Amino acid sequence: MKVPQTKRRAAASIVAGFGLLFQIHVAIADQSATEIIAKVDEIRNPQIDYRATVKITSVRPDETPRESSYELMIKGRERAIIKGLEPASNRGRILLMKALDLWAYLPNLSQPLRISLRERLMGEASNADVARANLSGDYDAALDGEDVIEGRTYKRLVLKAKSPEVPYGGVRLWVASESLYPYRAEFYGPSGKILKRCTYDRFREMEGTIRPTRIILFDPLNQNQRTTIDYESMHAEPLPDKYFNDDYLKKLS
Amino acid sequence: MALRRRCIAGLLILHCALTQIARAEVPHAPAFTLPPASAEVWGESESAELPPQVAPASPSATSERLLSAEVSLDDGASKNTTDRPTVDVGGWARSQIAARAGHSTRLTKLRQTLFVEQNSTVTPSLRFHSSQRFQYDAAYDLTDHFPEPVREDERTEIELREGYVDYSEGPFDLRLGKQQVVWGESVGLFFADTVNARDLREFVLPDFDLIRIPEWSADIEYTQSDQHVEFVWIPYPVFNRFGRVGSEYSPIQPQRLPPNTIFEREQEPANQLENSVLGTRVGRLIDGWDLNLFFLYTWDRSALPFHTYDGQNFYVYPQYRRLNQFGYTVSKTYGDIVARSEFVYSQGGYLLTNDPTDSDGLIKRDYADYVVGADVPLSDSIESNFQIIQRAVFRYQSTIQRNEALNTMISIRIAGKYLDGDLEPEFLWITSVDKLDMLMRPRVRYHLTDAWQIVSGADLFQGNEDGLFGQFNDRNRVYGQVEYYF
Repeated sequence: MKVPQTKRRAAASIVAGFGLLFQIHVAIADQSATEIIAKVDEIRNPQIDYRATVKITSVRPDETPRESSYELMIKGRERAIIKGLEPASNRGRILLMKALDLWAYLPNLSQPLRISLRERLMGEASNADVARANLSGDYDAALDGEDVIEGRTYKRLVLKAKSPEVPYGGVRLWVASESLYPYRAEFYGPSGKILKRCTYDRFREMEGTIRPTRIILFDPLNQNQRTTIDYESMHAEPLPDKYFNDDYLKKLS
Repeated sequence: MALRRRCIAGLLILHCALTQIARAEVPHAPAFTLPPASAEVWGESESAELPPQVAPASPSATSERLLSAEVSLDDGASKNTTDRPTVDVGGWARSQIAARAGHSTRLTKLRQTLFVEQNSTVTPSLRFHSSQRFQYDAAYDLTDHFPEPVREDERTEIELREGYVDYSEGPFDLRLGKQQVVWGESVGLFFADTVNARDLREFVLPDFDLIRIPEWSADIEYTQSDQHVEFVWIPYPVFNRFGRVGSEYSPIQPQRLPPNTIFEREQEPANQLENSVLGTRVGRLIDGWDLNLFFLYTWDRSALPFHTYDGQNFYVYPQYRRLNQFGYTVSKTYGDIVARSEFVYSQGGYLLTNDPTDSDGLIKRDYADYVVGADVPLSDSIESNFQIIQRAVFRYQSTIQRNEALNTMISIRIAGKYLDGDLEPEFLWITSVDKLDMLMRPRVRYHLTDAWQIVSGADLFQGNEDGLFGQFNDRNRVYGQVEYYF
């Protein structure tokens, strides 16, 4: 049977229209996902200069938990300093992160050394886990659906690295549907292998906003092996540009 | 000229290699697909506290409020502490034992070291720092195989290690006092790290921090986020310290000297301003490339063994000579790989020669030392570093000793972290391709507690005794140490 040309045109127009609508829908959804992770970034890491103190506790089965504490100096989304405070063997060690470049100052060398971003700080916590919260800068985000967990609805987002240099190849992130607070996340390597999972916990007011002040990182192969990052204090303070130069680290040690 | 061309060609090849490492194609991450989400892996109630259901205030409003400095701090502990004067005291204690390994086993070290440092912040722009080292080595009292001059030199050490004041004004900083100035970041050996003299009484085996000799100096710096300019002035430079004849790592082995050798006392340059060391360094971070250029008007910090023979005696009269050094350091990360290179051109150096027509046994030649290397992670727990090291001697003559026209070394370092970072095995291997000598340094560090660490290892030398490492081929040692941090 031969379909009239006008009908074929109409069908083509409808298909094209649906296609366009689908594209617009995807674009809006992605735009929304981008806005969501920007919001998550702002909750975790306000775009200001601030200092914070952080305690990291590493728990392994049948072992005494290990604790260390650090001072963070954060300038916007791209610059961070992690300064070892305790234990004494960590004192004077400093990490500088500028975008995706990282230096370590070691007192027994008295010199800054360039290191890679994935180097572990303690337990499951990498330098990036502690000092970098820039999901919107590092990843392309897309909404992946919703989950109801313990009676609450969470948006599920899939984040894929914008470049091979960012800390993880991909992230699956759950955020509270209404408030957009982060709830939990899974972090993947470039091959798609899961590296760690985390939950955001202990929501407290810090510098005028309620924020997750505890991040618990789990070894995906051993749920009992976990590292807790506790943000113990945070205060806004202008930090000079020069602090964030590797040659200046010796003056901060 | 041919050598110069070869060196330039070599440098170009090394730089191309570095660039290739930096530009290496890494699969772009978005190519992968995340595995499906699974609720089971999370278990029940992994998060002890559910997130708030009310959205926070708009980001811009929050940020503006914080930046307006009218924020009432929610936590007493979070008040700005940088305005209050503070004094911090810390340090470490270390107990070391070492023994020469091989056919002539003997105790070579039983050393107790206490290192204490104080940091005082008077105002945010004024800070004092001092550190002291107290050291006693019982091996010089419990054994009798070291000559008295060595015992006197190495048995005890009490020193003001560093003592300086830091003053800061905007982007300018002044550090005045006894201090270390560090310009290099290579592994295992010194290259661009040429500002301070070195304590080489234990060769290059101690921590670099303890090898460098802090010197009274002024260090003026201008620092912005991505750029840095530095001027260094050392008015009264000090010189490298070597182990005295008969010490474990003395470069002078009596059995290798000609008969009837007479050493004259070395004459260090007088403490006059004209003998100052001056240097400048300019650094900039460009697209992830951390580049520094430097120039140093300095001295060859090692006494040059000028010598002569009068038919009966062999006279050695060590002297110091000026040296101009300029070069660069550069590093770049690409993914997990960190590539770095250093280059130092030394103008006015002296090298040993056996030319019979030469009157003092040394010949003036320029030379360049350079290194290209990369840190490459081998797994989640294992890091590695590879370096190619070369020295090129310009206007080379076959009579020059201990150096070829182009000398090549290779170093490999493998380091691991296990048991949540408590166990840190490490292996460093440096070998000279030309001399076929090498240094191997296996070592294991174990963190007993947060404060206590134990270390065990060996320093193994092999090869031709004319080589940098082979000269100590009968001085292999094994060691152990206990460290306490406070």
